[in-house]
Amino acid sequence: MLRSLSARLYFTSLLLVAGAFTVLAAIHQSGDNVIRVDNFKYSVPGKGSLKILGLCSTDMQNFTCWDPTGAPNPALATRANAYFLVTSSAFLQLRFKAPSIVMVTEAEGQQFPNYISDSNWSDTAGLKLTTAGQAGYSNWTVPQLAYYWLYPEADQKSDDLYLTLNSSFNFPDRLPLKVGATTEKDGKSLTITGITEETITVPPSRYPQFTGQNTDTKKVQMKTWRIDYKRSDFPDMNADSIFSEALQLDGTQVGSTDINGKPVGQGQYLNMNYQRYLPQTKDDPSTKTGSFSIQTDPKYVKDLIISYGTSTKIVFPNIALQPTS
Amino acid sequence: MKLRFKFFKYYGLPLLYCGATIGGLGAALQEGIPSFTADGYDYSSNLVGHIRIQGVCTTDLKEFSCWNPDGTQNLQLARQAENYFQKSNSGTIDLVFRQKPLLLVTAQTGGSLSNGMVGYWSAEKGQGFKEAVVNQNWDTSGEPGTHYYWMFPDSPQKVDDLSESVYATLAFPPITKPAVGSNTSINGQSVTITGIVEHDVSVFGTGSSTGQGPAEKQWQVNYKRTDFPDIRNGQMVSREIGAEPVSNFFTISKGKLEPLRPNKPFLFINSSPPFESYDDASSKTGHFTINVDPKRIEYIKIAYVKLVRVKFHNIALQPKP
Repeated sequence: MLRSLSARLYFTSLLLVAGAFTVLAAIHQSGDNVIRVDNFKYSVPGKGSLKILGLCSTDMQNFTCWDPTGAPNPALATRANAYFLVTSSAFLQLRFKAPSIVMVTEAEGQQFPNYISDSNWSDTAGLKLTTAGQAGYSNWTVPQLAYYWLYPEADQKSDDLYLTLNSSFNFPDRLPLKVGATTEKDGKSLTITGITEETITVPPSRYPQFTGQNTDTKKVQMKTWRIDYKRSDFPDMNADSIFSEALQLDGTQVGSTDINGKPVGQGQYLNMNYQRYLPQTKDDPSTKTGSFSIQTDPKYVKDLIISYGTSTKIVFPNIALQPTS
Repeated sequence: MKLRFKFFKYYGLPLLYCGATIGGLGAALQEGIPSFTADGYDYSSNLVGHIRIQGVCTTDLKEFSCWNPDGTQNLQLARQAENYFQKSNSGTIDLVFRQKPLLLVTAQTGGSLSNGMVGYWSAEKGQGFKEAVVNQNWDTSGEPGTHYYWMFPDSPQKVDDLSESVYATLAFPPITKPAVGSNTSINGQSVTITGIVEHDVSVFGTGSSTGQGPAEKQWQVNYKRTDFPDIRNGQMVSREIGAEPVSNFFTISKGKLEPLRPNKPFLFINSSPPFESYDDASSKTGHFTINVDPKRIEYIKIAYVKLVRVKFHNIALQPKP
């Protein structure tokens, strides 16, 4: 069962890069989920790649660009000039009396999302980069250029840049919602050890589309079901990131439910208002046990689909922030 | 003309209120908006207060060059702009590639109606601004605030006519110790509180990544009013709440007041959860929400939003040789 629309979108986006990290041959790895790349390019063989093409500065009339090594790159300057000239939404986001440069990346292949947000990038200081826009098409068959504003210190000549990509590990099999049921993949497994009905108290909504009245001031008793589990070792799991999706008896996804856990039809989004109060996943790595909650009465649920979140940090070391003269 | 308001980055909470009031910019340039013409480069009235064109600047991002509205050089204004934008070193300036940036600088104080007004500029003739981005040196003490407006006119050689459309608020005298039956009036218009209803509301975005957040209390203040012929789109707002201690600047954390700037006198302005007000012109009733316990409120000011336009002519967009 999906906890919220945002969760739905989040995990949909995760699926876009799912599997990108299953094949990591020829890539140096240092520590769990940290990958340092060579040649300013992160590649997943047969899947795609992401490359830092170069960096640019501007005097507001023209761009001057250089490779990540610092070597001049006039061809990239031509592309940057064209992009900022024709893209009305691409502002120069400049600082007064402080350097502002643009990093240009190129993504290729279906394993990379068409658009990697600036929030995925950071520098050594942990600062986020600012998106300047993307050139290309929403089509993974065409290389996608993306522009990010970066604000180094005045005398900073180089820096490591970090790309954090989120993904998910998905158990392929449907997990029957009953104690003792187990799902497995790649030597990892999860077993349901308990199902417990709980009642939580949540504030009412003042939104009439949820409550049917705008002046409801009474708190609401909402039923939830805690699913206890034990698992094998999940070394790549983000903390407390186990996620479940409920399938109804006919195999279709549960959409919305009422506060008693009964699936409701489209347009009745009562649970959209309350699902934020659903108890969150709690996972104890030491005992490899935990629990998550669902909002659908198990009598309406046949199976669960289980997944958990992972994240990988890609390190692009020693990027030149100034051109070599 | 497209407009981009950037001042959220700099001023955050106080301007959340403004964000609510300017939500309908697209509908702003409508017929029937009261319009006034400035005398020279100053405009002053009880309605919108005082607006003065200080000058126009351009920059290469290393220094500013400024001139008065008549085109004569203004070195002092250049140093002022440099000082302002250097202090704003955490922020960036949105400029347009291969377009000369011009910075319109104004000094503004609120009039009797415009406590915290929000203005935006447009050209009266021709293509005018391609984009305008606003940085505002928001002054909360009643002294003139310096406002900075980035503009990118299509024809930077000409002297253009500009107008500022000002969202002003008609603020009623404060209601002390607000309760059912409390009343305030100005110029024959009045508002009476008819009910105060406590709510537990859920808050988006303040909890975990799943969106779960704590419950907070809000109070819905119901009112009835006389006829407001110039009220704009039902934008009745709660403008100012003086709580204990009076004249401080608060935020709400789990239903409790927390001073944001203990030594800086300012007003409390409604913050998240979503600002809400509703006004029914036919019944002349409505409500707005506050998130301060009425028992702790010393006074409350309420207001409604109106829009006026002030025109300025012959502003030099380049310096005299």
